[in-house]
Amino acid sequence: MNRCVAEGLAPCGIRHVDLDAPLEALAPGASERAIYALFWRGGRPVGWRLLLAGELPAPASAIPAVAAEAAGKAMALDGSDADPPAGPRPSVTVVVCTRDRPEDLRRCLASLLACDPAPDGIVVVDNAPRGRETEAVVRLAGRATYLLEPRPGLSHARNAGVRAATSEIVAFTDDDVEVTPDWIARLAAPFAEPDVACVTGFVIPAALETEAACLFEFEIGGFGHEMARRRFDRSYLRRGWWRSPEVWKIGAGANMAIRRTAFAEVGLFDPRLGAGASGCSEDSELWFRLLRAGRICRYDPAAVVYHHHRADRAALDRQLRAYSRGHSVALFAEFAQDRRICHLIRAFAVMPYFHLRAAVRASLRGDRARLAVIAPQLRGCLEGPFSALRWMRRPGPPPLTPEGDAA
Amino acid sequence: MVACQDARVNARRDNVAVPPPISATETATSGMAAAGGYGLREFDVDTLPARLALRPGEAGLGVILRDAGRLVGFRMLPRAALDADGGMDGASLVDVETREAMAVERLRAALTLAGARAPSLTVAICSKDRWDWVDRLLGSLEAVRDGEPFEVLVIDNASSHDRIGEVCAARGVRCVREPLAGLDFARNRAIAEASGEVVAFLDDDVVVDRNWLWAMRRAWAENPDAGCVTGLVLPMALDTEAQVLFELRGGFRRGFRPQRYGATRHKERHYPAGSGRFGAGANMSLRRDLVRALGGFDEALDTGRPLPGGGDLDIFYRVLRAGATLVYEPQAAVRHEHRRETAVLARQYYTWGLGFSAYVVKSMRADPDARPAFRRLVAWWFGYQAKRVVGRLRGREPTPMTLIVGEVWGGIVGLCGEYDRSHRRIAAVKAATP
Repeated sequence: MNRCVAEGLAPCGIRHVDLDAPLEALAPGASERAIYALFWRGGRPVGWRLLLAGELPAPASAIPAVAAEAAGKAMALDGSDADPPAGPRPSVTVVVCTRDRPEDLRRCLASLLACDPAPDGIVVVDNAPRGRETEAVVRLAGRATYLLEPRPGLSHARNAGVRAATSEIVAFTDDDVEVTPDWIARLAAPFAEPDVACVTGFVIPAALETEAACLFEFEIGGFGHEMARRRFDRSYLRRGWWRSPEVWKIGAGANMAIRRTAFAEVGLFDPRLGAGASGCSEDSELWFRLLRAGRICRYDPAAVVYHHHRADRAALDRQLRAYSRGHSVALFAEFAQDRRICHLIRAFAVMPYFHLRAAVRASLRGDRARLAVIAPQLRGCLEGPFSALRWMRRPGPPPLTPEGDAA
Repeated sequence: MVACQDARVNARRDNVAVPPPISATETATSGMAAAGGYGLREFDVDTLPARLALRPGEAGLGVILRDAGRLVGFRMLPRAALDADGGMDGASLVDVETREAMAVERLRAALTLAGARAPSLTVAICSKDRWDWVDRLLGSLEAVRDGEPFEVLVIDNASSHDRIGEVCAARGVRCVREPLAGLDFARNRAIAEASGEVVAFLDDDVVVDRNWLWAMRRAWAENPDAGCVTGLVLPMALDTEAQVLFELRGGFRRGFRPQRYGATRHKERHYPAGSGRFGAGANMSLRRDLVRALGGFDEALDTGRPLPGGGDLDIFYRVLRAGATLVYEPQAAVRHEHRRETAVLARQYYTWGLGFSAYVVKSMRADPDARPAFRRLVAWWFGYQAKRVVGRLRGREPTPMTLIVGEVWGGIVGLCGEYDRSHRRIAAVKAATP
């Protein structure tokens, strides 16, 4: 029977099914044990379904019902949230932060250079590098500016990128990402609404060939599978007194754009958070500040990037642990701003409780896949408060000033 | 009948006359909704009334929603869910489930490919004694008949009289007598006698929805690898408390979104062992040759008293384990006449528990690989029932405690050798029938 489901998924094929084109049967390739089918309509993803080997092949005639079922939620909400108003396209600079991954960066830059319309600038921030390979890749790609940020930490790197950018919009992506050709246009469009300070988009796995990638996508939920547009404003922060606002659901830092003036208003990324520091959540903490300041965040799944997930289990474990720890530290940073007890309740009680409960349940059910992803997260969230003791002594987000925070 | 007239138009009984219907105790109540009954209404989402109100004597409302003819939603609205005047805005009938089902059906309509061929169809109706219901169902089938021919086959399952034969003769429908009493004997007889590639089984206590035939054919045409297609079961009436209770608990409904099930499914515990989710035996169609290859329905399940259930769960499970696809098609809907008396409903809860665990015992024996999954399923089932008991004590569960306890008791009896007892009983039936 299907015990330990996610462990049997790799290698999992990915099929992009364009519902506007003639439909074809979905059949697994020779070695594929499952298919992640992503349904597109009108140039945007509208639904997905993971089909296991036991459900395949699916004949072409069966696709309409399967696709419609998968797309129902997004299609039902469509129209309640209309297209962004057309306006003059704002100027966009893309900031890519990287650290010793020249091959990944080369692929990322190639996809950015293929964008139509092209970004007005590309800034590659080389973050505390060990060698000079990154610089060579950037020089070779052309049209991209190389910037060195010696202080390690994703927030420092992103802040350096923001200072170097002069455009109205700063878009962010990671070196392990490939963007789609219309990415700039899709990500910039919602900024026609003046109050919109941040736009996030949809992150699709580029490959699901390894167990680690499948675990990340289907046990963790990847970077989210939301296919309907969403709009977040200050009211999103209001929940019960014990419930911390779920700002992390707004999007992913690998696919976001922020209005440059918003940084002047609420400050830059918090250098205590993010990869290289406490681990993660520098993006969601910024969204938290933006929403508190009354600005709008939008999620538009039409802005699509492909993400190369970690391929080996050790790297995945480290990543999940860092995510959980960083998330916890971000809660302390949020508490420092609004002094609401809900953040501490989440850091000290809710997160450990849910992870512990999930771990117990997974052990009882013999669900090894679930256990594999829960264990590092549990560890990370227990480390969170200790990590916060260390990081919260340091200065918080610097202002957007030309001279920077190079103190 | 007054309360639910608009929903029962096609359910009216024809005057086949003379002898009183055998099933009189089940159907022939006065016609007024008894105390505790709900009104049943049907609306199109484009022509919703501005205001919806209870009529005198109604304790709540059941509402069926359509969009361009497609079934997209069903709401049970107890008095407490309505406003102070006992009504609500028509527009607020459309909930998230309905909006999503509308989007699904509209997208399906936009995408569907032309030219897929549907296999030939035999509609099989198995009935014992209840000639008036058979006649009502045959009438509803005649109303949906289109240009394409299909066979109708009535299996008269050891009736005590010949009324079913007479009704069939009057309607020009083939009727075959199965002398061994038991629903799965009758179903196997239908599989043996059917000329169609697909046999659609309908219980005698249903009538088909106007789109049933079209949607059933479409599901088979779209899924040439299917071994089974099940459909939605909606209530025919909510006149009595028993009918309301059953529907409040979810009835036989399995949602308004089409599903395509294979041998495995991601992140589903108990799959495919928990086969109640796939549909209900009241409205299922099966590929004839597949059922023959599987050795037919299990005659020891669905024997009528004392074990009148489990046969549908068993065949769904075996179809999926055989590697065929199972499709749930909400548009292929029937309307089911739920039991009117609470005493009969109590008996039914008991037999659901009994049928479920007889199916579990049988499957664990026949499919050793799946034993751990079935063990977990049984553990889950008792946990689920315990939650209902707690929910009832806290006033959150609509089902009365006696019914829940009855279902649990049925489950326990079923685990304690009911399947073997049933085997001995059918051996005796076979020996006694010439």
